[in-house]
Amino acid sequence: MDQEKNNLPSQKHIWLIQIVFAVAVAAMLFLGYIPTVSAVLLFFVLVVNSAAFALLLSGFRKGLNFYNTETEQKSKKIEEFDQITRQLVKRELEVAHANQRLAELDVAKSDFVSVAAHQLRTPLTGIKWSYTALLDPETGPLTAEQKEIAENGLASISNTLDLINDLLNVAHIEEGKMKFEIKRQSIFPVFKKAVEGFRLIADEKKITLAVKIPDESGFPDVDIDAEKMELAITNLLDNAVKYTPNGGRIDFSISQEQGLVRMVVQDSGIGIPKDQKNRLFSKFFRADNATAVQTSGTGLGLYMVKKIIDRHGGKIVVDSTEGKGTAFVITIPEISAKKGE
Amino acid sequence: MEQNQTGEKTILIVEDDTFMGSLLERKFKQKNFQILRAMNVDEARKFIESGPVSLILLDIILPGTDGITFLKELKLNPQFKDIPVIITSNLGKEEEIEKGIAEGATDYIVKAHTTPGEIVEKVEKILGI
Repeated sequence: MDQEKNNLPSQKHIWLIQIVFAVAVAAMLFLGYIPTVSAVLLFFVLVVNSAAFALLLSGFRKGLNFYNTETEQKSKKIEEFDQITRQLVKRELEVAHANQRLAELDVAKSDFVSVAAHQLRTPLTGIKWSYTALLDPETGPLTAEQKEIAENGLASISNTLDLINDLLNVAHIEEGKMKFEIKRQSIFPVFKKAVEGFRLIADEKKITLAVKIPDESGFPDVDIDAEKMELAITNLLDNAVKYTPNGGRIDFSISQEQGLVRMVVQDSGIGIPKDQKNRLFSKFFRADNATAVQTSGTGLGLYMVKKIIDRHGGKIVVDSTEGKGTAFVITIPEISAKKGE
Repeated sequence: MEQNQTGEKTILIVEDDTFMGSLLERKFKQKNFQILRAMNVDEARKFIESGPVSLILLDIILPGTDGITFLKELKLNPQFKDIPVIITSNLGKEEEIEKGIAEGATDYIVKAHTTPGEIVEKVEKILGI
């Protein structure tokens, strides 16, 4: 730091003052105003004081210089901090703007999915209803060949509509918009409804659908969203029926132990290859042997089931042997920590 | 017995898709219901003002006034507020279904997930036939 800047006297000034004093003392001595001893003593004190003062001044100046340097560095830092703050505010505004744009796009995407689903469903419904009308006995008899063609057409259309529905459900889950109304209630009507929906198709395939349930009166109510739980059980039963050959067996059981409700769907179907079990609950995944025996299927069912069970605070595990069968085990707590969500 | 019960019941189908409207009409007529068909809300208004209607099957996306607006209008009118309305639409999002029910629809059917026969069964159940 320059001396001019801190306005302190330089050492040159001090020595000049000292010389002036020395000359003054010498003059007083020469003129006889003071005795020689006093003059020497005075001169000595003056020299020592000047040196001490110079040293003190030098230290003080160094301190002042250090203080000034520190102040300047702090000023620079404050300036840098201000600059960073301005940049942060700018970035924050940019992020807020980008978020707003993303929210707008999200709404647009959601609307697009809804409109696209509606536009696809409408003509497909027309085709589905046409096949239904053709197969209606009151429309008139069909030959066996005509009946088979109409039934295949109806099955294809129904699969396509299921795919659209699954895609919409998955989009809904991923957007976090699927509402879960978890309430304390009996789980019996839920699985009874789900199982009854598969009686007919199981009979057609000559599959034994065995249901093992405990006494309903002694079974506690459970925290569930009935509609979503039915969707989960339906998906598991649908897979079981789909991948179990004619004449096979499906067991559905429910039990309760230590605050947990356990549901098992076990089939004697084609099973899952060992190396593909860990991907089973991934979106759009279908095991190799599944695609070989069944062309229909979206690979979204088990993904949805897992999401639904997760939202109930439960777990789903799979035990399977390829060629022998598969068991899905769902465990959910009787009292959910996610109640009311 | 069934003929006598259903023959007295008039169902108003508000559906702009003529093909699906005709398939519904066909199925209801097999069960001896009286059928009125409207392509839009203006035609539907004329039908309900000209004679008794037992139940309305109402699509949402219609040319001109939409089905939900017509449903609100019906529920605000003391003369028509008690007519059961079943929404039959291919809009099937949870919030769309909730909105329909909240506006006073007796039921909400996603057409793609059902058949005309199942719709007839549901109508019979609601009308206590």
